Amino acid sequence: METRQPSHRLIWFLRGVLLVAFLGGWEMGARAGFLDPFFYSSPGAILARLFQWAADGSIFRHIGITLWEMMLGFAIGTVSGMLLGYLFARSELLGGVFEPLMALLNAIPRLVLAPLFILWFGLGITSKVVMSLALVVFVVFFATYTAIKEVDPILIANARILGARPRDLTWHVLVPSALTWIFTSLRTSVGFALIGAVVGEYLGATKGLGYLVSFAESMFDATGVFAGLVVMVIVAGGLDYVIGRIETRFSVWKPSR
Amino acid sequence: MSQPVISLRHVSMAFPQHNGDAFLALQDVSLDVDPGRFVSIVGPSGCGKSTTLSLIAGLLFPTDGEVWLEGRRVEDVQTSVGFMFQQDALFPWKTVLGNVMAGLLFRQVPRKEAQERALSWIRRVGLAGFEHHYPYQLSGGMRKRVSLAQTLVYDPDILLMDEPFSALDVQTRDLMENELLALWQELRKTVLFITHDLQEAIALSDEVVVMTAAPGRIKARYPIQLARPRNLLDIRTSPEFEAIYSHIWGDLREEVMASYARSQ
Ligand SMILES: Nc1ncnc2c1ncn2[C@@H]1O[C@H](COP(=O)(O)OP(=O)(O)O)[C@@H](O)[C@H]1O
Ligand SMILES: [Mg+2]
Repeated sequence: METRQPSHRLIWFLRGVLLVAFLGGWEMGARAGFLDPFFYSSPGAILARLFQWAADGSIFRHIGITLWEMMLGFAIGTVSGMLLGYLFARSELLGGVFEPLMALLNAIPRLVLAPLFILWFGLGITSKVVMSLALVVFVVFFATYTAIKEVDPILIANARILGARPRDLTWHVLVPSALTWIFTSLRTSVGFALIGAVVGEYLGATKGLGYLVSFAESMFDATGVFAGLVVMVIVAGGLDYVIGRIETRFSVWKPSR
Repeated sequence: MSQPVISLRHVSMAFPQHNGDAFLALQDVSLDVDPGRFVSIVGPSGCGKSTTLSLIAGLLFPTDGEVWLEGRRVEDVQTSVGFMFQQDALFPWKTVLGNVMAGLLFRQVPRKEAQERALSWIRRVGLAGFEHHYPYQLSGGMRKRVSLAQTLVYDPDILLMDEPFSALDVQTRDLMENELLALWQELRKTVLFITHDLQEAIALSDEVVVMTAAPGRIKARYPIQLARPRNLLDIRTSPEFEAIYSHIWGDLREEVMASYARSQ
C-alpha cells in the first residue's frame, strides 16, 4: 500500500484554517447572538482579558506560583521516587515488603486526596507541592524500579569482569539504565506535576492558575475561566517544548525515532 | 611441563527449574588449558558451552567440582580474564571510547592514560574515526571490534570468547578471524574459544574439544597440528584440513543429531 506523505506545509496550513474557522465561528456566533456570551464568552473578550492580565502583571505572579509549586513537587517527587526505586530494587527484603504497597497506593486515585492534603497542609503552597509530588513519585518510582530490575544481566556481568566495583555498577550501569526509563516517563511526570499543582490550587488557594480559574467560576465569569485555561495550555505547551529539548540533549545514545 | 592456566576438575552444574527439579547442564567436565594455547570448544547448542565460560570467569559457581584459574580456586568474579560475550554487551549509553576505556577506569587507571590506551586499541581494531559514536550507530561487525578492544585494552592473559563472530556475515567473520589470529600470534594469550562452527574451530585452534548434547560432557579432544602461522583463506581447502574436519565431524554429528532429536 502506498500512501503519499502529506507535506509539512499542508498540514500546518490546514491546522491554521481549522483554528481560524473555530475561533471565527465562535466570535461570530457570540456577536450574532447564537452563543450567549455569559456562558460561552468570546475569543475577543478572552483576548482582551489576557491583555489586561498581562498589562497589570497579575498573571505572571499566578504562573510563577504554579510553576514554583510544580517544580518543587516534581523535584522532590523525582528524587524520592528514584531513591525508593533504587532501594527497593536493590534490596530483596525492602522490595518484597514495599513493592506491593507501592502498587496499592498507586491504584488510589490521588486527585481524590487533594481535599485531605489541603486540610492537612493548609491553603499555602505546601498542600500543592504535596499533591504534585504524590503524583510524580509513583511514576518515577516505577520507572526506576523496573529499569533496575530489568537491566540486562549481560551488561552487569560484563561490567563486573571489566573490574567494576559496586559503586561503578551503580553509576556506570544502573543509573544510566534507570535514566533512560525516567526520561521516557519525563513527559508524564512533568504533566502530573502540573496537574497536581493546579488541582490543589483549584480546590483551595489564594494564588496560582488553578485558583484563577476557580475564582472566575465562583464569579460566573466565563471569560475569566477560558482565559485561565488558555494560560494553562500555554504553560503546558512551553513545558513540553522544554522537555523535548532536554530529551534530545540527554538521550543521545538512543536512535532517533 | 607448565601448569595449566585454566583447570576444570570434575565440574557439574545444575540449574534449578521452575518445577523444582534441577536441570543438569554440565556433568563431570574436566579440562586443562595450558598457557598460550588456543583451544576451541564445539558442541550442539544448549550443551553448556556458555555455562562453562561463566564458571571459569566466576560469574557462576559449580554445584560440584572445582574451577581453577592461574593456580587459584575460582570463588569470585575473575577480573584477570577478558570475556567476549555471545550477546551484545556494550554499554549503549557510552561511546566507543567510553566503552573501551571502561575497564581501565574501573581498574583505577588514571583517566588520561586510560584514554590514550583506549584510543590506541580503537585504532588497532580499525575503528579510528568512530571514537565518539554510540553502539547503535555501528554495524554488528564494528560492535564486535569494540568488544574486542574493550576486552584487550587491559591486557588480560586469558581470553574467554563465547561465539564472538557467530552473528556476523561470512565476509566480516573471515576478516575478524584473521585479525584475531594475527593478534593472538603477536600477544600469545591463552584463548578459550567457543563456537558451533567446526571449521572455525579447526582453523583457529591448537586443540578442539567436542562436547556432548545436554548434559554437557567432554566427548573428545583433538590436537590440531596444522602449521602456523596459518592463512585462514587457504587453510580450509587443504587436504589436511579436510581430513581433520571429517574425522571430528563424525563425533560432533552424533551429538548434534542427538540434541536435534531431543528438541523435536
Ligand atoms: N541461568 C540458567 N538457569 C537455568 N538454566 C540455564 C541457565 N543458563 C543456562 N541454562 C540451561 O543450561 C543449558 C546450557 O546452556 P548454555 O551454556 O547457554 O548452552 P550453549 O552455550 O552451549 O548453547 C541450556 O539448556 C540452558 O537452557
Ligand atoms: Mg551459548
